[in-house]
Amino acid sequence: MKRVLWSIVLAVLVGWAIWGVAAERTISVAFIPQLIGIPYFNAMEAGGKAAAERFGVNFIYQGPIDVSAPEQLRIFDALIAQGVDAIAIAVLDETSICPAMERAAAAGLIPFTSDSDAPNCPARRLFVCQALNEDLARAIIDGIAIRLSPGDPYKAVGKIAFVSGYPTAVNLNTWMDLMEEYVNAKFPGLKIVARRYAGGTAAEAYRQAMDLFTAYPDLAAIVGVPSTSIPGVGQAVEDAGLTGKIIYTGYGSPLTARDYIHSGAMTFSVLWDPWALGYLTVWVGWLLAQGVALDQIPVEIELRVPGLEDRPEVAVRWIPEKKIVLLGPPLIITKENVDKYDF
Amino acid sequence: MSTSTTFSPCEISRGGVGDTPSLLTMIRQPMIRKLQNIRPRSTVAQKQVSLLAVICLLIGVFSVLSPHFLTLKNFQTILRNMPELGLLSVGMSIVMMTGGIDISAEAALGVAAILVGKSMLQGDPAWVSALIGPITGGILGTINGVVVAYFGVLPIIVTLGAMYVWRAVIFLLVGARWLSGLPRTFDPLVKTFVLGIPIPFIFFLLITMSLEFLFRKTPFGWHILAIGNSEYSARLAGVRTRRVTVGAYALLGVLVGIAAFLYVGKHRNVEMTVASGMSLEAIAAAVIGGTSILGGEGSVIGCVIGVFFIRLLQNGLVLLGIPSIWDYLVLGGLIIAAILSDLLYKRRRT
Amino acid sequence: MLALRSRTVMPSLGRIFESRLLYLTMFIGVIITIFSIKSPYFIVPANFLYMFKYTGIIGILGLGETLIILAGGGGIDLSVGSMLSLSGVLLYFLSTMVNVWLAVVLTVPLGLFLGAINGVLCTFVGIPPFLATLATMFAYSGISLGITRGVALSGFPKQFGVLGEGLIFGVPVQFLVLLFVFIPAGIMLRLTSFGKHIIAVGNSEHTALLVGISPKRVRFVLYVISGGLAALGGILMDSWLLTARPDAGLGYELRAIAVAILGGTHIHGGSGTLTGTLLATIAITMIQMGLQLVNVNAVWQLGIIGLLLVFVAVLNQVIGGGGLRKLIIRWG
Repeated sequence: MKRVLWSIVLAVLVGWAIWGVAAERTISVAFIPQLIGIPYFNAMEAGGKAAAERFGVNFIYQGPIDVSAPEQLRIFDALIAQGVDAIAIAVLDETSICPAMERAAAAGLIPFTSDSDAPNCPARRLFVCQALNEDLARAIIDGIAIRLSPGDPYKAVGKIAFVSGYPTAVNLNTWMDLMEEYVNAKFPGLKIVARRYAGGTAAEAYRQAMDLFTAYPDLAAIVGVPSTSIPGVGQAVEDAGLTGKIIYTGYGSPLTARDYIHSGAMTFSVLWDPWALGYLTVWVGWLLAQGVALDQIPVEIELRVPGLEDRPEVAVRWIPEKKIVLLGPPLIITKENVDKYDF
Repeated sequence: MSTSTTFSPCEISRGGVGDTPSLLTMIRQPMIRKLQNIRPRSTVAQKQVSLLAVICLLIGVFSVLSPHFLTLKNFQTILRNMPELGLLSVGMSIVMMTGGIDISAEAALGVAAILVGKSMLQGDPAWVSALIGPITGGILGTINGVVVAYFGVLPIIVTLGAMYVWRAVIFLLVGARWLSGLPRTFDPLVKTFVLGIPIPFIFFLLITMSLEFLFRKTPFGWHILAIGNSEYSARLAGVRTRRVTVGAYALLGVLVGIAAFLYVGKHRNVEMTVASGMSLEAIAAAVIGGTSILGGEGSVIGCVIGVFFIRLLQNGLVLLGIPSIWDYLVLGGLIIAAILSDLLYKRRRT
Repeated sequence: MLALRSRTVMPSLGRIFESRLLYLTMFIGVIITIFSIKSPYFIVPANFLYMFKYTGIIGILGLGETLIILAGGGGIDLSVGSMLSLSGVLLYFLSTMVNVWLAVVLTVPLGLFLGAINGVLCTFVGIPPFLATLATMFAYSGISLGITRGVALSGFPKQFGVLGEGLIFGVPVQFLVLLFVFIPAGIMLRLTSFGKHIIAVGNSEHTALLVGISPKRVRFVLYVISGGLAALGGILMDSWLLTARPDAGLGYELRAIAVAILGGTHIHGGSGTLTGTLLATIAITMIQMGLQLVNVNAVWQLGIIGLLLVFVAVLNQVIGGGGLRKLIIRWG
């Protein structure tokens, strides 16, 4: 046992000795996505990097490989330990991340949210919001309705099915709930007939979509909710010979959806510009870390973000009631504009 | 063909077990008797008959409950969804017959699929892209096999570790940029129907048939079953157990590679999470199809029925409008039910 | 193959253990050194103690896993993560009915029950453990997804967070809970006859039977214990997140098995120590935390743990099988 103890002491001493002096200070902003390895968050990372380069920020991008709240928390704690200036997080689970945010604030860091919010957490300084959830839900349903009944969308008649991802994903569930609410409130002729969870793979989405086409031969529209469902459902539409006969839409990034939009299998896709969202996140973090109290502005104002002027559909606004920095309205991606984006 | 040909003289001399013929004959006799018992018929066939009965029952129930079920198109859809899982399951059943398991198969499929996809994007000739799948799969499978056979580490631990390593490799290869919108090179092969049957399914059936032949008529198949029954006695009888084990894992790898090729051809897309959860489905299909959970017994053809059963059930769940949240439970319950029925058969036999 | 290997257990056992513990300590030392060089934040005292919070759940699951693997017979429990999720979810539902602390007390028997199902399947029914627990892994996580409809449930009272978040003299309560279960378990393994039975069963089932120990009964009890420990893990997880998530235990089975194997437990059972598992838990947590601090991707973290798992399992085999030379002879 003595040997054991001594080797610990020795190792620790060596560690202390080697521990150098911290490098000269640059502002560092971290962003924790919900998971890494999907094109969407990759685009946010690219946007964040671009902003970091422009404003001279040290940008750290770290996230879990599964949609896992404990993992996110672990990464968050590690970032607090690193003493970054501002941490943005795409929240998976509000309750668990809130105490960590309070810890961060107590340690003098600036915690804020981006992409997905923790609205009831007092420590969260503000939320960088891609588009309002209500707007996103409406964009899908409106798009379906207007194509079903071009004269008067509110008279549209048809069945709609959802192919979602993991059943535990809060944002996907929120969108589906909002879509359902909107349909029930405004479109008496539309009916949501199925809500399937395909997990995280395209193959499963393919299978579920194929079976949905069999189960509901008169299906008017199918919605691939997460980007993991997009290629699977698109392929299913093609293979079932329904290209052009069914409205296929969803929240798919242009890169994933491009092939299906070109072939006509996918009618339109709704998203926002994640590159710009990542850029905006780092910009906001940079401002806050410099002591600019963006979150204290009491009135709604438009913000001009250097470097984002030429991005389409970007109209950054500060909404004080909800403490939101809004990127802009949802981006509708169709055959006409799909080639313009690279994310 | 008599069973005694199982051990050709050269096979025994290579085994290097004993140089004294008297000892050999002593060991051989019980072994041969044992091998006759484990020829892939007996209870396996029984199980398959009852499985077919359950399938008929399910088809009956689904037809009554859903008007869209009993249509040509629906069955075409089911067949279309079978080949990739089927190949995985056939390979898995071979590994399970040796008493092993490979839960890294899904991640190996992902690695192979990415390499196939990358090669397609590079514009390699179609045959090169098609070959990359099985080669990659074979290599990955061999690695698992070697660690299992030569280092004697439990298969579950080796393949659990391997799964996470392959997933990291997938991440390295795809980065965060999925392969999407791959060229339609293989469309004529994977999207065509012959007599109303999708070509990949025919392809899958052909592979299965030849493997079934391999199992019934060649020493390799018998050796695998012998290892699963008792590695110890198999080795004493002159089976080069380590090589055969590696062979089983490599074969699974090759099948996984072929599945990867079919997958890429069909989906023209590879994402980071590709095929996650597929190993478990494959294990379930193999067990349902009659592969014994204790090893040493099983049938390749049975996997076809097992996979058909799983896909049929999943199809029925959607058609009947059962909430999707219960999908996981159904699969878990299915594995347990299959395992229990396997044990029940074992009990009754002994 | 099992039968062929005659392990010389008793005489060399102590030496192997000792060297194993020494290796592990040195390993931890190396980890500390490397990460201290790579990241200035690693060895900061506040952070260093805080890191021990992450040992709690992994260590507790790893303890159950170690005991099961120790008892041999291909014993393994793949369902620990799912049991953790399910008992966490059940705890939430209980806490809506009764006082949260009472609910905590009630959750443990539920975990024991889940473990007992595993135990029955693996021992008395006779399904190979990796398959039985693979199936229950699916079934348990299916149940927790089903009863929650996939939604994370929050609304625990704030004072409940003390187990997962609390600090006593700067030491995380999670780590104290870990010690609280490790010490009695260690005493049980070393000093009680049941502990000796575990080792005996793991070494030779046949011999154990001959001296009147029932391997089935011993293993059954261990699965039950593993279930109870998973429930404890679920309680800690709930308390830490103040949320019951149906997917909370995702991927924890790998870590639990990894710490058991890394800690020197022989995969075929019969040899291993709890101290080894504890040190391995600390090592793995440090690796993960350190990799995180130098901003290495989470996929790589798991990939590295996976590699380490296979590597150490092979290494154990080499040591346990009588050294490299014997291994080479076996190949020939």
